[in-house]
Amino acid sequence: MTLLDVTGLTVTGRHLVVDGVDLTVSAGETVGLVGESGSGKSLTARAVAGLLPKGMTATGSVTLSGLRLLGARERVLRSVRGSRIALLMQDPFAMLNPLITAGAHIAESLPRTGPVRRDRAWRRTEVARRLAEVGIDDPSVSGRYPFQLSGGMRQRIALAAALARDPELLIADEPTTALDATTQHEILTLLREVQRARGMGVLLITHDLRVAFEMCDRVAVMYAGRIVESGPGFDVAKVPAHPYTSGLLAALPSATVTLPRLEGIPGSVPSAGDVTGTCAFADRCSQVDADCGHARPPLREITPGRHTACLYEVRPRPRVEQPPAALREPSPGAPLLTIDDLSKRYGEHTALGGVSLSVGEGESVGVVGESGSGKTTLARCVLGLAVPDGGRIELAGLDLTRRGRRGDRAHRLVQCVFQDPSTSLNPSLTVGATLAEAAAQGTREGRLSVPELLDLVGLPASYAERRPRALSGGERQRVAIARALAVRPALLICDEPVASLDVSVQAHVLELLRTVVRDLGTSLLFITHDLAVVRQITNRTVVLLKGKIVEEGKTPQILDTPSHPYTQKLLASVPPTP
Amino acid sequence: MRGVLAGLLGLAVLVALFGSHLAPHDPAAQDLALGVAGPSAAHWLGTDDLGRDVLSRLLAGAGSALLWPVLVAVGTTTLSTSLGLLAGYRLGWIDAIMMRTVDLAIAMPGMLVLIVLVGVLGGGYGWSVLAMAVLFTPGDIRVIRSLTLAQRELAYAEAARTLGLPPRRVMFRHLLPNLAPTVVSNALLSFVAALVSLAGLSFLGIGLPAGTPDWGLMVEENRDLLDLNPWASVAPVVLITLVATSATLLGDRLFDTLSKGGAR
Repeated sequence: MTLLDVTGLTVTGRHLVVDGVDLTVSAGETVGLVGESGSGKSLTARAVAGLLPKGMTATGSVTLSGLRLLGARERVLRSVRGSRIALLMQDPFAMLNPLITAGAHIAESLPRTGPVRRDRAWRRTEVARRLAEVGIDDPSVSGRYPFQLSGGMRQRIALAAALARDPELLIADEPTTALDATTQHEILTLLREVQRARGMGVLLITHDLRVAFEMCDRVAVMYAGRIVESGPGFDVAKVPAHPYTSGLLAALPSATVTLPRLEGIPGSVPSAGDVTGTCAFADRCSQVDADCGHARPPLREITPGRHTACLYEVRPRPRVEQPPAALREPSPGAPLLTIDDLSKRYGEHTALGGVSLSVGEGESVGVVGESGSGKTTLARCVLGLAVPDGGRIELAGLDLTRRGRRGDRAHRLVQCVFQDPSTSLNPSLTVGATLAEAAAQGTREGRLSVPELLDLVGLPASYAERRPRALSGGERQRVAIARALAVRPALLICDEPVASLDVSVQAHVLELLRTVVRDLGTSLLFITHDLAVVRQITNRTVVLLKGKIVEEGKTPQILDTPSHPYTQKLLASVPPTP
Repeated sequence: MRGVLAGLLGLAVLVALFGSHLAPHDPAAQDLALGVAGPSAAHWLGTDDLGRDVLSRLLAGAGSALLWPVLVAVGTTTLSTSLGLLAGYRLGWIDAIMMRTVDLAIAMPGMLVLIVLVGVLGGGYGWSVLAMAVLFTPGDIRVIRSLTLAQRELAYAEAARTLGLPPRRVMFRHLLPNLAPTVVSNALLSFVAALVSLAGLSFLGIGLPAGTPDWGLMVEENRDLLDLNPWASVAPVVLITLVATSATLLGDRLFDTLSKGGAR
C-alpha cells in the first residue's frame, strides 16, 4: 500500500533546486534518497513535510495515503506533522531544546487523547516504555538535559520523541552524519529494528551510499535536483544503471583493499536550472554522445521496479580486479617525528594520556579514533597550537615540545591541512595572496610561485584571483593543501581533510594527496575516523582510544586482522562497500 | 534605501564642512529690533530672541555638532579595535589585565564622570571628546575581543599561526578584515552616541560657551521661545535625530552587506 506518493515535485527558490521528482514510500518500507550536497535531497524532504525555507515554493503533488499535502492549509499540515509524518534531523544537539529534559521532550510529543486517562503516572510509564524502545533502559536518562547526554544518546531521544505519536512515515534527514562510526552503526541498526517492529514507512536521506544500500529496500539516487536512478538497494549497488551511480560507487574508498587509483568523477555538479533541457550528468559522463544533449532523458523502466534516466546501457567500470596496490614503502632510517609519552589534560578531561609514536622519513602514518580520542589534540601539540603537559616531541632533531609562539624553524618542518573547508581559507584574501604569503614563509631556494603551487594541486593559474567563496569545498581543500606544502615541510599533518567532502570529491583530494606527497617526499600524519580512508593513504596505523594507543602496526595488517577489541568494533561498524 | 541614507549623511558632511559659507546671514549678527520672529522670506526658519537668523546658526553649528562626534568615533574605533584584537589574540596576562580594566571602566557611571570632568577642566569640546572616547572604548573592546576569540579558533587563523607568521600580521591582515562588519557598524554607533551625548552636554550648559552656534546649545537657549518661534529649538532637534537615525540605519545596512561580502 502506497503511503507517501510524490509526483512531479518541483521546488524553486531563487533558482530551480528540485526538478520533477517522483517518489513513493509504502508502509513497512525503507526508501533511501541518496545524493551529494546540493542535489536537492533535503529540500525534497522538507517539501514533503511542508517545511520549505522562506522564499521557496513547491509545485507538483504530494499525498499521504490520499491526503493532499502540497498546497494544503497550515492547519492540515500541523495535524499531519508529528502525528502522521515525523522528522529526524541531522544535528542531535540543535534538535533538542537545551533547557528541557530528555523525558519532557518525549512526554511533550505523546498523543494527547486516547482510551486511557492521560495522567502523570501514565506519562511516566509511557516515557519509560518509549525510551526502552530506542534502547535506553536506564530510567534516570529521562531526567537529564541534552548537554548531559552523548551524541548517540541525543539521537536516540530525538528518535523516541519523533516516534511518540506513532507516525506512519518517518523522514530521517542524515540522522547519523554527525555521529561516530560505531554510534552511527548502533543508530542505524536501531532505526531498522524500530521500522520493522512498527511496520512504519521510512524515507532515509543520506549522502552515504553505503548507509543507503545497507539500510534501504529501495534507493533513489538524486543528482542536480532530479532522480537519475532508482531500484532495490542491492541491485543498484551491484549493477548501477546510471553512469553517475557507477561513478559514485567507483569513488568509494574501501576498508578492505588498497586501491591503486582513487577515481572521482571529473567536474562538478551543475545547478538544476542550467540543465533542464539535457541530461544533467552529460558534462561529466564518460559515455556521453550527441543524444544526451537533446532532451532530458526520461526515467525509463529497465526491469520491474528498476528505473534509470540514462539512454544507454551503462558500461561496467574496470574495477577492483586490478591487483591491490601497495603504497610506497619508506626507506628505513632515522624517524622524522618522534613523540614520546605525550600527555595533555583539559581540566578534568585527559585528552592525551601518554602517547608515543614515530613517523619515518617519507612514511605515512594514520591516527584513527572517534571523537574525544585525542587525535586532534595530538596534531595540535605537534603544530604548536597547544602546549603539552608532559612528554616530548622531536621533529628532525628539533625539540618542539614547548615552542610557544616563537617564530623558529618549526613552521618550515611541519604544516597542516585542516578539516573544515568552509573556514580553512581566509575569506577576505584571494587564493593568490594566501599562497604567496605561505610561500614567503619558506626558504628562498626552491620556493614555488603561486601558479606552480596551483598547478601542483591541479587548479588553473587563474584561480589566484578568486576568493574562497567562489570555490567549491574540494577546490578549497586543494588550495589548503597547496598552502601547507608551500613552505616545503618535511611533515604534513592532515586533520580529517576529506571528512566533510562528497565522495566523488573526496576521491580526487585523496588521490591528489597521495601523489603530491609521494612526489615531494613529504611524510604524512593522517588523522581520520574513516578506516576506508586510512586504508588508501597510510603505511602504518595507530588506533587511539581515550588518549591512549590501543593498537598500532602496518595498515593492511591492522585492518585485515585487528587484534584489539576496539579496533574490531571500529571495523565492524564500517558499512560494507558494495 | 542605502542611497538615501548615504545621501543624507553626505549632505550633513557637506554642511558640516562648508556650513558657515552657505549661511545666508552672519550667524552672530543680532537684530534686536526684529526680536523673535517666525519664518519669513528673509529668515526661512525665523530668528531667535536676539534676532539672529536660525537657519544660519544651524548651518554654522553643523561643523561642531558633527565633526566632534566623528573624532570620538575614530578615536574609539581605533583604540577599541587594536586593544580588543590584542586581548583576544594574545590572551594570557595581557588579556587578564585589559579585561579587568574594562570591567572597572564599565562599572563607572560614564555620564556623571564626564560632567564632573568637563566641569572641573572647563570649557570646550576637546576634553569631552577625549573623555567620551575613553568612556565608549571599553564596551567596544569587549565586542571586538569576543569576535577575535571566535575567529582565532577558525582553521584559517590556525593555519596562519602554523605558518609562523608574526602575531601582528595574523591580527591585522588575517583577523581584522573578517571583523570589518562589526568594526564599521560599531564606529557608526559610536558616532551616534557621541552626537547625542555632546548635544546633551551642550543642553546642560556644559561644553561650549553660551552664544556659540551649536545644535545642542540652540535647543537649550531657544526652548523658551517654543510658542513664539518653535523652529528655533525644534529644527536642531530634528537635525540631530535625522543624522543619528540615518547613521544607525546605515550602520545596520553596512553590517549586512559587509558580512555577506565578508567572503566576497
